[in-house]
Parts: sequence; C-alpha cells; structure tokens
Amino acid sequence: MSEQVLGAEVVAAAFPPREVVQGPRHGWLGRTWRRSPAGVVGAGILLFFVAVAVLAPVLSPSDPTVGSTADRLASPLTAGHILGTDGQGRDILSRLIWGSRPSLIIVGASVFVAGGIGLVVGAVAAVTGRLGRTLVTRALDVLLGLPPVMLAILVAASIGPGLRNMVIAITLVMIAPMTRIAYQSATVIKGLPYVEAAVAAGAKRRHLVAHQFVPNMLAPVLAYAASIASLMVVLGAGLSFVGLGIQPPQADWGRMINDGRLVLPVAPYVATIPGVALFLLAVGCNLLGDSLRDALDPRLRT
Amino acid sequence: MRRYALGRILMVVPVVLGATLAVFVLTQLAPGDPTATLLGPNASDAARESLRRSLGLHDPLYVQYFHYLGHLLRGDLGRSIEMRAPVLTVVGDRFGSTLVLGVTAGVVAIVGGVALGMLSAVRQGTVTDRATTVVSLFLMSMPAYWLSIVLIYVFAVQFRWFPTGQMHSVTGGPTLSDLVWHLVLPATAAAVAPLTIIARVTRSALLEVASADFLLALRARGVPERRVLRHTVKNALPSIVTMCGLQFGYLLLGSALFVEIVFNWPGIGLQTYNAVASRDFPMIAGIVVVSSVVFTLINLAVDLLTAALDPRVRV
Repeated sequence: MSEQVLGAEVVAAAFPPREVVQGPRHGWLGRTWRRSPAGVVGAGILLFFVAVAVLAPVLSPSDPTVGSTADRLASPLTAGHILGTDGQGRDILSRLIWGSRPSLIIVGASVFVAGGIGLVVGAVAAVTGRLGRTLVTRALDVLLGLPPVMLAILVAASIGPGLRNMVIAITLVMIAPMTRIAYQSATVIKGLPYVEAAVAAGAKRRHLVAHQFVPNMLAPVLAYAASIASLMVVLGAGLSFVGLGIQPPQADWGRMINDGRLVLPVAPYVATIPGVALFLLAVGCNLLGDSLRDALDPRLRT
Repeated sequence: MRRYALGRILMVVPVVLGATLAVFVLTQLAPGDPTATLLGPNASDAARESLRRSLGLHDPLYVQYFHYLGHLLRGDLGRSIEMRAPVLTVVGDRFGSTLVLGVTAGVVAIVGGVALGMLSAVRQGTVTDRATTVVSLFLMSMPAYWLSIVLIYVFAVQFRWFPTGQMHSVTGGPTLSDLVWHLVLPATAAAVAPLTIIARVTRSALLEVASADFLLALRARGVPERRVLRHTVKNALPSIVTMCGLQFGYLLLGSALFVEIVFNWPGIGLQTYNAVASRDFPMIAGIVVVSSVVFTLINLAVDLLTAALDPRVRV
C-alpha cells in the first residue's frame, strides 16, 4: 500500500505535470483564450446576444410595441429611456432587446437546417456513384448561379412576410453554399485511409455516411457556417428593411433601421443604434468563423 | 482552352433555365388571383373565366412553364402592375443606373482591395498587416444599408459635403461632375465590404503561394527578388480574380440594391423596393430573371478569365 503511494510520488517527481513547468493552471477557457482570443471574443458576443434574446421579457424595461406620442424622439440618456425613443415614442432599448430574437432565430434555424441538408447531401453524393455526383454538382451550379439577395427577396415576396417564411427564405439561400462546402470536404475525406479501411472492412454506405463522413465533415462545415452566418444576419435584417420580413409593430433591427431613416436629420440615433447591434452580432460571427477556420487550416492563420 | 470555354458557355443554358424555373415555381406560390389584378375587383365571373382561358391558366403547369419560357425568349417579361408598362422596358431603363453605381463601387473595391491585400502580405506580421486585418474584419461586418445611413448623416446632413441621395441634381443638366458628386457616398457604402473581403483573400492567396517550394528554388538560383515577386503574383492571380468576380456579382446584385434604396438611387434596387411595397409581382419576378442572367454572365466571364490565367482549371 505505502509502496504504491511512494511509487506514485516518484513517478510524479520524475515527470512533473506540465502546468508546474509552465506556470499557473489554466482551465479550458484559459487555454482556448491563449490559442485564439478572437474566437473567444466572438463566441462571447454570440452568447451575450443569445442571453439577451432569451431573457428579453426580464431585461426589457418597457413594451417594445407600445409608445406614447408625448415621449416621441426622446434623446438617449433621457430618464426612463436610456437609448431614447423612436418616432412613435417607443423605447429603443426595449425594441433592441426584443429585436435580437428574430435575428438569432433566423440565423440559428437556417444554419441548422441548411447545414444538416448540406451534410447529408454532400456525404451521400460522395458515396454514391457518378450519377449522384453529377446530379449534385449540376444542381449546385444552377443554385449558385442565382444571385442570393435576389433569391431571398423573391422567395420572401412569394410566400409572404413573417418570421417562419424568413427562415425558409434564408435557408433556401444557404443550402447551395453549405452543400458545396460539405461536398468538397466529403471528396477530401473520401480519399483518406480510414474511409478506405472502413470500405475494406465491408462497411455499408449508410454506415459510411453516418459514421465516417458526417462526423468528419462537421468541423469545416461549422467553420464555414459561422462565417456565412454574419452575411445571413445582415441579409435577414435586410429583408425586414425592405419590408418583407418581420411586420410592424414587432421589433426587428432591419425594420428599426428603415423606420429611423424618416427621422434621420433630427434623431440620428433611431436608425444608427439598431445598426450597431446588427454590426456587433455580425462581428461576433466573423470572429468565431475566422478562428474556427484558422484552427482547421493553419496556413491561413493571421 | 477552346474545349473548356465551349463547355463552360454551354453551362449557362441549364443555369438560366434553372433560374426561370425557380421564378416560375415561386410565382405560382405568390398570393393573389392574376385575373383580379388585371381586370379589377368588380369584373364579372364570365369575364374572369374567359381571361383565364386566354391566359392559359387552365393548362397543366408544365405547359404554362413552356408558355412562360416562350414569352421570356421573345423578351416579354410581363407587364408591371404599378408602372403600367412592360417589365423589360422598366428594368432596362433602371439597370443603367445600377451599373453606374455597381461598376464604380466594383472598381474601387477591386483596385483598393488588391492593393491593400498586397501591402498586407508584403508586410506580413507587422503593425500595418495586423491593423489591416482587424479593421477589415470590422468593415466587412457592416451592413451596407446601415453604413449608407451613417454616411448620409455625417457627410450629407452634418457637413453638407455631398447630396443625401438621387443620381442627379434637380436643377441643371446631368453633367459628369454632378454625377460623380452624387456617386461618392453610395459608391463608398457599396464598396467597403467587398474591398475588405478582396483584401483578405488577396493577402492569403499571396501568402499561400509565398511558401511554395518553387519560389525557394528560384531564390536559390539567384533570381532577383523583383522577379520572384512577379512569379508569386502570377500564381496567386487566379484565386484573386475569382474572388474579385464573385464579389463584384454580389455587390452589383446584392449590397448595391440596399444602398440604392437608402440613397434613392433610381436603379433596380429601388425599383424592387417599390415593387415590394406595391405588391407588383410581375416586376419582382422580372427583375429576378434579368439579375440571374446578368449574374450568370458575370460568373461565366470570371471562369473564362481564370481559365485563361491558370491552365490547371481547364482540365
């Protein structure tokens, strides 16, 4: 018994743990921070907005859809309205907080759905024969030949406004680029020894897709999704800006920016404040996307 | 090269067909009865029925699609409900303004982006490089429509250096200097994001080539640094050209549309905005068809140019 403990001590002395040599112990967060501060900041920004969206009923100081004409265009830092009020006397901070919901829901849902479709289609195309590959690449050529903003506007105009239809429109725009990335990484994986080994061991196509391809395609697809998410945040708010997205009086950042254009000369903060929120969310996505891509492909590291 | 070019040009056909199919399917989903829009709400049922017959609305969908294609091939994109004019005439009229804005912004983005990216790559790791990387990350995250509003407030409302919108002054003839004066702010707003993206891609394309073995071999043979740089640029050029073309397409038929709306620029973006507001569906569909054709042609030009620069693509 005592011999074993003594043995452990000797081993520990002979091989000091790394943190003893390298200084104070760092947790997972600390290690990640040292490897990629930008990624941690980006993830932090995203988490912040998610928290704001989830806690909107608690955080929001007043009703985002009701204003009083007496309080019209109060400047920021007015008592009761930290960020001021808009042209209808509605509290901008409250509208900003509630407006985070549509932006996050649209991006989250469309990344999830388009990413899922892309992973499955990409992997299946890689394991099926030439016909499957030709079909997928040709379909991608056609879909990628459509200008994305125009496609989103056309879809949203056809199926009508509202949150659910915006998710559909943005998802349709994202499917082609996500599938392309997924398919590209699937073709890379196809030539790797472990896939060959699985095939040699008699793995069925379904097993290949579910256990060899999709798990290994996840990382590059996720990194791409984070970068493209910033564009989709801007595009989603852009649809509302054009009048095809969230309908008044519901709060949406794109809508708020467009409403603020009317009062720009007298109250510039009405249009600019929601833009700052939109910008920060896009920066968060870009930071996260960049650091994920760097982690996967060290050649591009900045 | 000739074989590749021919195959690539033929690829335009399925892409454009796919675009028209997408527009046709989505038009079917659009709410509203076409006979009600054409005849007004007070038309008799018999009049509607005969119009449905003459429009072929009772035909199977694939027949209707071929009818639609036939009209498109004859340049008939339908009639705008709001403007009471052929869609093609209106779109053709507005597209010129979009091109003026889009091409100006595109040239600024490509020239500026490539220059900035080269500077960043040559000075890799220095303060210039790091600052460029950080600033470009922020700039590329800015929504063009929001940046337009900020530019208008600062430079048009506060300083009064530039007009708040429109393409020409109300008074006086459309002179070039007047146009340039109106172009500065919207072109800047549309150029910023693609410029930074092009700069990033230029930088990483150059750095990727810079670590290639053949450059080491050139240096070992005593080739002067200027010529080594030329080889580097030449090998990085295909991916830079591809990205520039892609960004130009996204700019012309993407962010510039939003910029047009904010600046009241009389192009297809503003037209789309008005068509959405007045539920002018034939107009929206027509704009999408024309934009898809333009987008496809831009992509074709980029692919052919890349193939001319890089023999590996032609296989």
